[in-house]
Amino acid sequence: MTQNTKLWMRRIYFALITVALLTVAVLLMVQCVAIYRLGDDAFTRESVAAHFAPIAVPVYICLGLVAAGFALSPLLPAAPDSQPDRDVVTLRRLQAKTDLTACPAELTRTVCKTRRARNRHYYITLALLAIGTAVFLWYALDSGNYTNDFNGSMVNAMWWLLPCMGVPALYGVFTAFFCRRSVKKEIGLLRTAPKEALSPAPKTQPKSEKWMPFLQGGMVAIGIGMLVYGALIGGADEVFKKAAAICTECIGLG
Amino acid sequence: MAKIKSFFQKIWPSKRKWMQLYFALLFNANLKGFVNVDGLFNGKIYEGNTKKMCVPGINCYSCPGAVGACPLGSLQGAIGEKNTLFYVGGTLMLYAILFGRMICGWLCPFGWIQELLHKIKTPKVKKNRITKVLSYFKYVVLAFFVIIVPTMYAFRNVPLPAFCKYICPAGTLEGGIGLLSNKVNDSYFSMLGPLFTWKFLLMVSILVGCIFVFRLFCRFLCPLGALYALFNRFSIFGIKLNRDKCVDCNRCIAHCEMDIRHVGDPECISCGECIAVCPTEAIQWKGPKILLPKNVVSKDDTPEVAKAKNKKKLVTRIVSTVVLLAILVGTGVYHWNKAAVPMPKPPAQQDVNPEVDAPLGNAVGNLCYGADLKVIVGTDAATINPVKTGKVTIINFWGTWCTGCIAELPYFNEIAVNYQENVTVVAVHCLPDGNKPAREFADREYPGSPIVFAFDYGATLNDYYTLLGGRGAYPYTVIVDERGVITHTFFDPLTYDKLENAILPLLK
Repeated sequence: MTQNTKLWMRRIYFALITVALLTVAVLLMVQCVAIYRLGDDAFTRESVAAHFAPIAVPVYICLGLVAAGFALSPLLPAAPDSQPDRDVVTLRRLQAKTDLTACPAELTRTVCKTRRARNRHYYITLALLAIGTAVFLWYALDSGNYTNDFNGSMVNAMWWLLPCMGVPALYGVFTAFFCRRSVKKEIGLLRTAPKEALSPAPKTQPKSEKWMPFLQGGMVAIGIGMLVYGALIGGADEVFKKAAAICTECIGLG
Repeated sequence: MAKIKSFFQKIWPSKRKWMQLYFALLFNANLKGFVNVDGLFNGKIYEGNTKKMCVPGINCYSCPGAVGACPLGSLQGAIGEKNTLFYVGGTLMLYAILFGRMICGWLCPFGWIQELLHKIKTPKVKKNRITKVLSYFKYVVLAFFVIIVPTMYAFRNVPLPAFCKYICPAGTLEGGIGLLSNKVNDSYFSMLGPLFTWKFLLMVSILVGCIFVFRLFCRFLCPLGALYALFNRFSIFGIKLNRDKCVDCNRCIAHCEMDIRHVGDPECISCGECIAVCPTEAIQWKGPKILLPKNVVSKDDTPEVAKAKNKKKLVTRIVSTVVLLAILVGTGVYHWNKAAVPMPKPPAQQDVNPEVDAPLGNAVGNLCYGADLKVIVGTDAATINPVKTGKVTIINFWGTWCTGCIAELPYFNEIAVNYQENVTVVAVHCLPDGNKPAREFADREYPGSPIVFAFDYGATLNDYYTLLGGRGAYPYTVIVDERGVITHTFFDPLTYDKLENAILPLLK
């Protein structure tokens, strides 16, 4: 079997398993919400079994695909760039040793333009993340949003997490794909830099850590002291109380 | 043959995977919590003394198999309580300074689950600048859900472990689904609602996300990882980079799937995978010399020296495996053989109502067991017997540590005020909380309330709770009619409407 055929098999398998896994996940979530929407006391073993039974077929398909993936692993070779951070590391090394001021003006301009475009998406994602976090914290910390139905109010607050984090996450996925291409492009550009623009990367100097054993010893002593003092004044019993007598609401059962 | 051998060598779990499996089993050694055999093993959570200790990784203490306390749950519960804060804080500091994030890589059962899911062959999202930024999000989760919200509510005297309640997927998977999967816990289904739906959705999203993104929860959301990360640089055990040998080739960073900037930084879980890819052997294990492996084969060793070292390594490996297995089997056998907590005996005096033809018991339709409970606040009498009030009686088992219990008490108070003539509400405080916190709470929050606050009886102060069918989860409410017959049992926090709907038919 040629390498090209193997790569095509890999692509087809990846497409199939991704679709199967996402379908199962969506079905699980949809069915759970469907039971919840039936009203109070809708969750029973019977109703859960009845709603989740139709998911069995996609689940079996999914499990079959997972098993097939492991069995066929010799036929599903890793992609040539399978190392997680290979491009970024290469880029970092090239950036460290390339002096852009010594490069031709056209090359410098193109590299800077590529970097700016990448950074723009990166900062937009960060801004969206910051705005999302701020909106969520503003809503969650505002006591005016809490009615007498404390539990319901908090769950409402948690639903805000979806748009607040979902939008930056989606933009982040787009940015990740864009950055990947952009990083590859910059690597290609930097590799064309003339020899006179290259210099060896400076080596990081090791720092002295003679103080480390004293800090570690001190912290161990403080930890043991707190632990023993806490146990003597009844901390262990309090931990036991919460671990042995569960508050069902605290573990999210309701 | 060689191909088959190479295939099995490829899929055979590494030493770290075996250790993760080992600790997952060790922390969940109460195997009989998962099964239900003729009432002998009742699918209940473990209630032994080992739960006084926090385990180092995320492992929900509501999991039927858990034999230790979850450090995060304990930390959130400890906020606002000086004595517990010292104990839990000391434990966490010791774990952090000893192992740092090595706990995430080697000891955390939920980390192991995530890594197993990531083994499924799918397209993977590689680390990038966005994931590096997202890796700081866990510090927001630590600050907001584990510290700020529980502290805010501690000032209002409401215990609220916000992370466990609204986020923790390990709690939903191990505690929630672990308990619900056992048929004896069917009564818990009645309490499922919006909160469970949210947590289930979140859990499914995170678990599916883990298939595509390496350790999604650990990297972006885990507050315990964030806490240990603060100490990672100072931890006694872990991995370190020898700067003198390092040639800055960055192969370690390229190989690592976590969002590290350099080996041993706060994101490094000390899994040791990078040791093999380092061309100059600059990455080493750190720790006291006496505990470090002495037979590591170096590239400079001659074949004879390497052979001798490998032989010694094999002996060490066999001895350590035997010792570890002995500990695991011993723990499992200890918990398996530990006698089940016997059903408490009802108090000797049970005045059965002759007009009712029903057996004594704790099921709906049975005559309810009576007991003289010591009154804390609410009536001048020293004791109260909930089945002898001559009215419809609502027996609510609660605790000052329980969020749901405290959230529903205002509704009980309203019922007690509105139906004072026909209904008695007895709030029975359980467990060795001592008289003081419950009395202080009742005096402060419900002065002059018609609710009768009482104590449970028995050595552990939850015998009446167990006798009436409590299963280790709070709150629990039993409604008894004026003849002393049980008409309703509720395992979930109640609302005013639900309570009123339950008692109105009894009043007619």
